[in-house]
Amino acid sequence: MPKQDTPQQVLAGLTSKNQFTKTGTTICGVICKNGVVLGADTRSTAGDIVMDKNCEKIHYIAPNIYCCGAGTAADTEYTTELISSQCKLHRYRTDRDTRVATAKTMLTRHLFQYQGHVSAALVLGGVDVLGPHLHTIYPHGSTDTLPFVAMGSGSLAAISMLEQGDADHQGWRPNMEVEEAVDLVKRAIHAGIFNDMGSGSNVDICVITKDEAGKIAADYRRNTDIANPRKYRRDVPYKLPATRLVEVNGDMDM
Amino acid sequence: MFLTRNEHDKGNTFSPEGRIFQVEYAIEAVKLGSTVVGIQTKNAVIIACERRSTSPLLISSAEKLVEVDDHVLVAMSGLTADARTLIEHARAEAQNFRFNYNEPITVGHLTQSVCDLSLRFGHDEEDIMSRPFGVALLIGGIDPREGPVLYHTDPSGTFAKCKGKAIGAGCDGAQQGLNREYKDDMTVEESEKCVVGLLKQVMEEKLTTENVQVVRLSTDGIQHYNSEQMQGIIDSLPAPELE
Repeated sequence: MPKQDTPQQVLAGLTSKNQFTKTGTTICGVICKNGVVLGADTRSTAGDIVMDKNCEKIHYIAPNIYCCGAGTAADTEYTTELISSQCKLHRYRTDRDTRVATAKTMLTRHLFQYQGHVSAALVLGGVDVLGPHLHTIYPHGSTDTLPFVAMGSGSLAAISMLEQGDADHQGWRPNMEVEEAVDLVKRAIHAGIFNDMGSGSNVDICVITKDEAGKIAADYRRNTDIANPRKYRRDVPYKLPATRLVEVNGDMDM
Repeated sequence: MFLTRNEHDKGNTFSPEGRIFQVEYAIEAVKLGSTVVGIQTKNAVIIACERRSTSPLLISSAEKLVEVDDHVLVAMSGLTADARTLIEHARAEAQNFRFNYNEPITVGHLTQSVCDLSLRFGHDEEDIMSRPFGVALLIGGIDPREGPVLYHTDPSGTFAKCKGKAIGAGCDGAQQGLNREYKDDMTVEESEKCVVGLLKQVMEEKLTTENVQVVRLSTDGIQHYNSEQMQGIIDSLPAPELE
């Protein structure tokens, strides 16, 4: 039986303890040469229970902008979809591709309005006419603009890989090639998956780049690394033993 | 036709014969607009519109073919400024539908929603209109269930699903041509030639790649034809017969 709170805990935690599906998560992003790489794990939890072993935490905002979400799953999903719709209308009205700063502003205005009650911690990344951009957005509506970022419960593990690296690999450095950056992000998410209880399962990656001609393309690599495959699985379904007829009771009228 | 003014000329008043004059006048206003011809076949919707230029010094005129969503495009004729509210409403409606139902909007539903705006003459409404919309629309799209569809709307707020429709100045001639030439099994190339050919017949100016716009809607999305494609269609039109 899952661990139950004592009545005192329930009362004390009614405003703060979230029993709905919350993404204890590792999400991160890095800026590389000509683009950004976003990464996320795929575990969603409700308290101590894994609710979804393969959920999608990298959300579409625009053809050139994607957003990783940590926090309450409903909040990240709804907020990113809302802003995605608004960006589409904005594209029609302005006849231009959406800029990352525009998406960032729309998200922060929304989150600030709700004074932190919309529990969405986001890593927003994309490429627009001004180049690649990467931001973190906190539930209260503040932002950071950095060359590499991580959010969620596994962010400590991830950021150490991005900041420092390990014995065999370097951390982030400027002007990395795209595939080097993908590798770095995978390692950062791995660190979260294996060292943070709130993160697990697989790695999703999204690569957004601009080529020499100026064309921007997004490559959403769902389950690019299945880090935790299910090892033991019966090949055949469980076969129930055949029902054995023991005795016939002739008296059927009761 | 309408030589005398009438006390029944307000947009929300019927005449004793059962007519709403303002709406009828609005329909006449559409006939002053540039011609637009649309055709719907099994695989695509092709819409061609005349791009009238009043002066060589004019840099750009109002866009007459506007996208409403990835699978819907609207062509307008008449007082095109009136269409702006309709287009904005249609775009918002399409995005709201996607947000709430996670699927593209049905073209008929969208058309009905746009036509509902034509009736804002009641007393309770916040956005009461001073006059009817003076614009007719050809709403073309790839319906998620039915495939390529074409709807026609007019100032009265009625709409109809069409296989082929012409609106604007040359609509009478172009519509007759459509009735003659339309076949259920037309290919995309045949319908391209059909609409451009009809425009050529009804346009006052000589048809060039500059004064005509063509767009194709298919399961591959919305494709605006560039000058080479336009020239290809124009070149493939039969030469005018000498009398």
